[in-house]
Amino acid sequence: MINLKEIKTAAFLARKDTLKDWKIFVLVIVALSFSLLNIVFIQALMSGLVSEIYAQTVDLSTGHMVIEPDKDQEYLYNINNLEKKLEALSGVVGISPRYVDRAIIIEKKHDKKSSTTLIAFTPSRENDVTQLYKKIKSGEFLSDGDENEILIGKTLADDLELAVGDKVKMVFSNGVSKEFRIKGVLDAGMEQIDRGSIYVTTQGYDKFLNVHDKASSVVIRLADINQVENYRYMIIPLTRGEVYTWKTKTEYIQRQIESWGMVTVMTTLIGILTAATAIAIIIYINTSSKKREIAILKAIGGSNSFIMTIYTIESIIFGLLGILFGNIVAYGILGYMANHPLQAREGFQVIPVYNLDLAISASIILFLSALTAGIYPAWKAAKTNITKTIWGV
Amino acid sequence: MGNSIIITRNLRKIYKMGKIEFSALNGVDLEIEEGEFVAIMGSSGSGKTTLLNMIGLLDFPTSGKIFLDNTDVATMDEQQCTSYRLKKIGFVFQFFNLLNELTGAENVMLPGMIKGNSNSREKALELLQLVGLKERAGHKPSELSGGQQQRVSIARALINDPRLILADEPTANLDSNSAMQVVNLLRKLRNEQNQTIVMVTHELELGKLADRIIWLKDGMVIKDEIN
Repeated sequence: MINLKEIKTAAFLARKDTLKDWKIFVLVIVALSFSLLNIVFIQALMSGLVSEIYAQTVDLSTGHMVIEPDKDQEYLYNINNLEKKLEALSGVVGISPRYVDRAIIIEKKHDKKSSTTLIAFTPSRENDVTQLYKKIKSGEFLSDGDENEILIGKTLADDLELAVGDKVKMVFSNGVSKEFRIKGVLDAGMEQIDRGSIYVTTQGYDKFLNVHDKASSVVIRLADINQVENYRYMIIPLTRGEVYTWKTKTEYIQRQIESWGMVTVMTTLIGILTAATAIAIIIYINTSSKKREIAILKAIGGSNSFIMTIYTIESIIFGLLGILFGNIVAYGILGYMANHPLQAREGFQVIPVYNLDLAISASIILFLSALTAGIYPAWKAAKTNITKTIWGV
Repeated sequence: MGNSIIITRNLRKIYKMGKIEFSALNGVDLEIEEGEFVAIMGSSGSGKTTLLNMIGLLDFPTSGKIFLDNTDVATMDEQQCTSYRLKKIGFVFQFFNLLNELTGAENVMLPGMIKGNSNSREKALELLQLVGLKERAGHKPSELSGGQQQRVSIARALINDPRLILADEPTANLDSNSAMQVVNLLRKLRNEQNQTIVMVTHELELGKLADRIIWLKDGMVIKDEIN
């Protein structure tokens, strides 16, 4: 059994040996740091991407909660009454009834057409719930009194070669057609909006499709998004419609993310395995080159456990410093990116999200890899015949 | 057994290299008294270093007995051998075998530190003074000449006050002047500290500085002469 004095001597030798070759020292620390950074950063990026997708969906589409008609109903009725009940709930900060229809947009000059989703809302009410108004690329957002104006997504506008000020013909599901002026082009960073949606005001829509006191859906914003489940139970008795939270409305995204999740888990596991192997190889080679030193130590009276202690301490030094620097660098980069987000594409910014649990798990795995990689060759070398090693020099 | 510190009885060592067996020691019987300075001589392949390794517990005999200080070391396990080496044997190697990352003083104090001595540094400096290298205590092996490195290595062998010093061709890599200094230093140690010294050498001139020369040939003692 090794005693405290031997541990102190082993620590002394480990420190001397570790600092003997700066190049190897730096190489191992950098390799460990970058391995950790790779794992933490990719995961943070994926988490940031997922968060951004959720945030965009909530901020631009679903709000915190959505009320929709029963399956056998086309509309929600008595909307004014429902709105009053919802407004009476403290913590509800925005309510926006919406009307959804299918329509055909026709660009008159070249007679280009596209089938699209038409969404009607009252802009001042919608602005309390979503942040669609922040996504205007050119032109202006709708005002409550606009009756002959529409907003169009950037991709759809590009496809139909349309710009702000252009006039288009809209054909609604009931066969009625009307000319509108494009007031603004949206760049939301969501395909569903940029390619597939056109927005009009409720006032304009109501002129030719009577939607008075009814709606296709009501989107709601709460003061605290974390209270959605509580509010769901509060709202259910207030309506005959179905009450959804943003979570249930984004289940389709969640399913998609789960399938990426498998890829991410595999990527992370492979990343950890690759990093662990790389670290193991570097430390293994480093320790294996110390056979002569190990044999000398044995010859002058160093026990196997003493020798193992030296290389265990060395591996601990490498492991701790590598993980420490890796985490510092990862935290620094992620901190920088919090203020300078990654612009994945126009209108879609990704801020990586630091995952503490993953950072801890990856740190532990890499630390154990460094430890194993250092101890195994030392253990092998400690078992080597001293005479062969020393006189074989 | 009197005051013999080393006794070997019918010591044999056979090395196996694949299907080929090579007999390095063929029944060596010898006794070395405490405080003796003995040179082991012989041509290359005569078994000198193998014998030294057996006495130094660095290797195990195929058969036969070794008694060190009246202890049958054949019954010791590896851990006991290591502990015995640490406390009772000092080694001086042909290639010095100092640790390059340590200074001269640190190399000398190392076995003392492993043993757990608290005054290793002071003692290391004393020993470096004894071998005439106190002023080089802070130098690393790469900054020392071959002769100086070997003297550091001798100081290291002495740090735990071993009763036995084993030197394997300690002068083989030194010029004649340095070689003479090293052997004279070993003699001085024997005279002043009454340590038993067993030195393997192939240089007769140096062997003659020992009290006694044991000649080996083909793994057997062929002559044992007092100088």
